[in-house]
Amino acid sequence: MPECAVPVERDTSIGGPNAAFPSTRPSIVAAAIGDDEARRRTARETFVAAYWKPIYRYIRIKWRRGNEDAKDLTQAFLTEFLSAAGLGRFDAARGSLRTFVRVSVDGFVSHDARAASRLKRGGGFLVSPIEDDDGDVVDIAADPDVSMEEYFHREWQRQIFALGVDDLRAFARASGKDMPLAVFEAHDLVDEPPSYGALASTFHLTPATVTNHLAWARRELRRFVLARVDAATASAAEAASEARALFERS
Amino acid sequence: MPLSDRVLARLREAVDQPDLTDTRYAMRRLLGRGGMGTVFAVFDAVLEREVALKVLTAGDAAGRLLSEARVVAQLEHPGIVPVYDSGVLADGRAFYTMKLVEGVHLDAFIHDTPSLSDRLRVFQTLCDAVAFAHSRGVVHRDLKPGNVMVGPFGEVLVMDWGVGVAGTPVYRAPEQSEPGGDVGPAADVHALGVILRALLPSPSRPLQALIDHATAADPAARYADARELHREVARYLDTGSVEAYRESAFERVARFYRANQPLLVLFLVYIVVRFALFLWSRP
Repeated sequence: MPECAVPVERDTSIGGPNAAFPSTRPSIVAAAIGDDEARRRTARETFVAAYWKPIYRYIRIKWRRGNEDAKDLTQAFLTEFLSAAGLGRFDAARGSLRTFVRVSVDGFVSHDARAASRLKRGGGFLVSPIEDDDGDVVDIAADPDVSMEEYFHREWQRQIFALGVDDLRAFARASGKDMPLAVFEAHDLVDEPPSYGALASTFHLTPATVTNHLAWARRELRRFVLARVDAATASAAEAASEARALFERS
Repeated sequence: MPLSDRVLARLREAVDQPDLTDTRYAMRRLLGRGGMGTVFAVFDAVLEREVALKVLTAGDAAGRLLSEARVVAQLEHPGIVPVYDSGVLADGRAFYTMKLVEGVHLDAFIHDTPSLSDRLRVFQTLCDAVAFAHSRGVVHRDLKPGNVMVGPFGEVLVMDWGVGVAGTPVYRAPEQSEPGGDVGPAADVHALGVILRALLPSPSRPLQALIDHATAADPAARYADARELHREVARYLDTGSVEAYRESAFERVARFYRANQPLLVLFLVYIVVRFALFLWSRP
């Protein structure tokens, strides 16, 4: 598990640009419910960063809850789940952590009333709600060929990549690589990417330099994404399996 | 702002592309995914030819891919794809390059409904390549139609010598599913038997016996290695019989008749003519 090379300064955005990588591997599960306060906090932040948005969107789509309701349920679920009674029940022999989380969300939301009452009492670990884009949720839900399991997996992958992009931005700015980052953002983060020639003209670069900047950014993004996968899974085998699925093109 | 589906798809593709910076290779196209890695067609700018580049899949150990490259490099045989180069890319991923094989996978070859003898000859060539590997102490462990290419001139090339892989369920021998199971050449014989079953939807009794013998649950009850299986197929092509099947007297006679039909017809004509001459010349 690589350490983050960027000097970190925590902000309030969960999994935001300054989020630190957890420093230890093997199990986010053990760390998140363990006795070591520092490790537990880091593991929980890592977990929340990877899962908050997928869970929120999943609740909105599968359970047809409104924006505020889904946020409250996500908050309540994570508060209850990040404990020995929740995450502690995870058994790697029975499936992936991601599947366990999804099944647990289903169980939790089906007992909504109980969740709501617990939310009012408050839990031991509070997470900050993250604003989301409702239009995006509706667009994704419109695809009838995607099962709920696939949907949750895809949202998890989307979030892992989003975190990887955040890490890349922080790393590029701290390393003085603003130009490669700008080229990458202008090409890979837009729906209709311009040609390399157009990018070269826009940024006053040669096409070869554009190619090199993109190669650098993609190489670093790959590293950050894999680090995020590694941090958000329960074992090396699960991390390898999730990484393969992440890069598998349909 | 969440990443759109299109951006996500592009990022997945972009970061999966091998970083060929500072190499002699330029990206051409994706060829497919196999055991442990993704294979791309790339252009070798030094030798000015296209080759196949296999790069490690995310999450797999670099040592395994390089050990696969070393294993294949030891197997110089016309039925085994030759390795040209190996190393580590700028993105830290292990890779090796090999001959870019033109042709179709064995499963696609079957769909073209070739004749029985063509199927058996392709299978025999496959057995020959695997037998060579066995003679060098190498077991493939994941033989299946997807790992066999048939070229336009009938050449057969075995790929994906991913030593240490667990095999593919349909083709996997029972001992490969046992923890710590002793996996030897007999596991490849089992997979070859399953491949032959796929090649021959309605096998004759001798060929069915051959398949049954190759796919026996007990490794000791199978052909010892691919060479034995190769010999058995050659015997069938030459004589129509196999050691794995004991023929009845009637089947032996029928086979003798089929194998010598022109000669027997000539002999019969000769007898009839002689008999007619005998009757005609009788006073």
